[in-house]
Amino acid sequence: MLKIDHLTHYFGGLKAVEDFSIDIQPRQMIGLIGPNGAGKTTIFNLITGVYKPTQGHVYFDGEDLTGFKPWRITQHGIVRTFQNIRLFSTMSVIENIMVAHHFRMKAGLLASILRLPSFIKEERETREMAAKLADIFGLSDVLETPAGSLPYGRQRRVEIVRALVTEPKLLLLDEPAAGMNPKEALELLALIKKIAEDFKLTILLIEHQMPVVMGVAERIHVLDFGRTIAVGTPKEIQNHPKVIEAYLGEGAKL
Amino acid sequence: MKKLTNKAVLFAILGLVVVYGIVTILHQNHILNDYIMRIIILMMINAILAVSLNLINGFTGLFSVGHAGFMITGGYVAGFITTLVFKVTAETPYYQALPMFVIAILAAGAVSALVGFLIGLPVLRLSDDYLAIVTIGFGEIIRVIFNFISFKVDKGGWVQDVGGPRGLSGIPLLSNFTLVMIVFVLTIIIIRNFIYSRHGRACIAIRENEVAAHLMGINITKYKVMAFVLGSTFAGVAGALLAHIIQMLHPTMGGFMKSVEYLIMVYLGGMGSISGSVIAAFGLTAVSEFLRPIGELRMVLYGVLLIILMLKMPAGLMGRKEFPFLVPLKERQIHAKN
Repeated sequence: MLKIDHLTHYFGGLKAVEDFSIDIQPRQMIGLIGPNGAGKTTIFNLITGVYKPTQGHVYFDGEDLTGFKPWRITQHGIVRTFQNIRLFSTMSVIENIMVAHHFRMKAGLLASILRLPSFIKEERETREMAAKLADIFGLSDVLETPAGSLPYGRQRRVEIVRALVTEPKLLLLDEPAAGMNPKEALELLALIKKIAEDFKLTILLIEHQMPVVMGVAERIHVLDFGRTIAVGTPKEIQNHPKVIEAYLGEGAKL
Repeated sequence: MKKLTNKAVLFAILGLVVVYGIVTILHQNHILNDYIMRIIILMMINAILAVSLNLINGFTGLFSVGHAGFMITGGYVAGFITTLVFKVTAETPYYQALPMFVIAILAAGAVSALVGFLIGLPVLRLSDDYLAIVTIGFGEIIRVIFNFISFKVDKGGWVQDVGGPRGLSGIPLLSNFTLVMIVFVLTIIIIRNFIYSRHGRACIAIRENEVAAHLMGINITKYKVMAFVLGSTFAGVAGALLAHIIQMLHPTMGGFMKSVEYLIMVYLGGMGSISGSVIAAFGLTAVSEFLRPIGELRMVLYGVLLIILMLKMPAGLMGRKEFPFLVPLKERQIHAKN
């Protein structure tokens, strides 16, 4: 489904990502971990078109998406959330969600300005769909609140719902549980897992908290200084000497 | 809930009809003289300009400083059409002149839209504030262009020069209260409907967070250009109306200083509030007109007034709030709840 071939990206002289390859099959949930500055978010930025890779290619459903503009990549069915939350903060929660459904809607400029019945119907359906999804993530009491005034954890949930209404095939989650305690994080991940099943999603997940990612991912890629140092099941990763070294330093023992 | 919608909008329509009726009756009975009527018309024209600029700067978060340039473009286009193409004069009966004027207004809007598109497309592909620099330049270019465009017109025996640095004079007085009010109300309706649609939401999302909007599948260049062109179109229409009330145009009217006047209206009323732009445009037009007797001092007073208002209300008079009848039902429930 998503195939990344020898992706390399430089920031000036700094090699942020080096020779990264991954092959994700439909309905998989893959983890991407690594210490700070390992290049995880850069990979997300490369997949979604925020950066253009120095070398390498990104294929999605057999199509080469390398160098596409971000909005076109989203329209192809890849969507992401952000590590540092990027909501439309003065817009209400429901509007944040509705905006993301934008390119799935059809009402033309003239239909909108003339308020044709087709426009009104579509607008109502989108609103209902957005409200329903928000409800699944426990946001129904804040639909009309400006998104920027919500507490951190709920803003993350809005981001996930907003990503979901673009009707993606592949969902990239950038530390969805950041700032949450392990219990909240596990709850959220369980919810994400359920959503992934309901919506037949494929998920690539960046996560810092090891127990969280261990519990949900079927395969984990570990990055350090832009290089892939290990790939395997959570169990294999846990005991991989290079991973322990990267996280805890040379000579450390778990 | 359905009744509520009808109520607020119904009141607004009723209010419009009443205001229109009262003003017309007062004018016919010479309680409101032609001078006052002129100011009322100018207030509405300025409101069209402020609201359309707000669409670009307030709702979409762009920074255009060339609104007067689009206004003057529309003015000249309409002026040339009525005076040179249709040869409308003061003697032409109004019912004959009106269709020609309508054509001129539409042409003015179309030309301004085209110019807006030609400027917007290359510039809005870039991020940051290149638009501000380019629109300042545009204002100057327009001024220079209209300084050069002049015609020789055969006025039955003697040849008159039209246009160029002396401006375009002899434009027939065709903008009356009824017509300007219709255009003004239509403008408000169109821009309000645009904003409360998926297109308007896309524009606001771009203002709020460009990167996130981009990554939510919104073609940001397309929507920036759309907002810019739509705003420019109405500026052109307003220019056409303006030309046919003040009856002359001068190239300097498209310049930077004139654009700043409209910027002030937008910021004073509130970035992202249609209601605010209308109030500010009405208020500032009236104030600067009624302060005319004190001469140059009015600019000082005007400045002090602005400083006080911006200190007391940094978000503008209305912030991002709207009059209820400008907000569709679903959105209005939000305000009711909060």
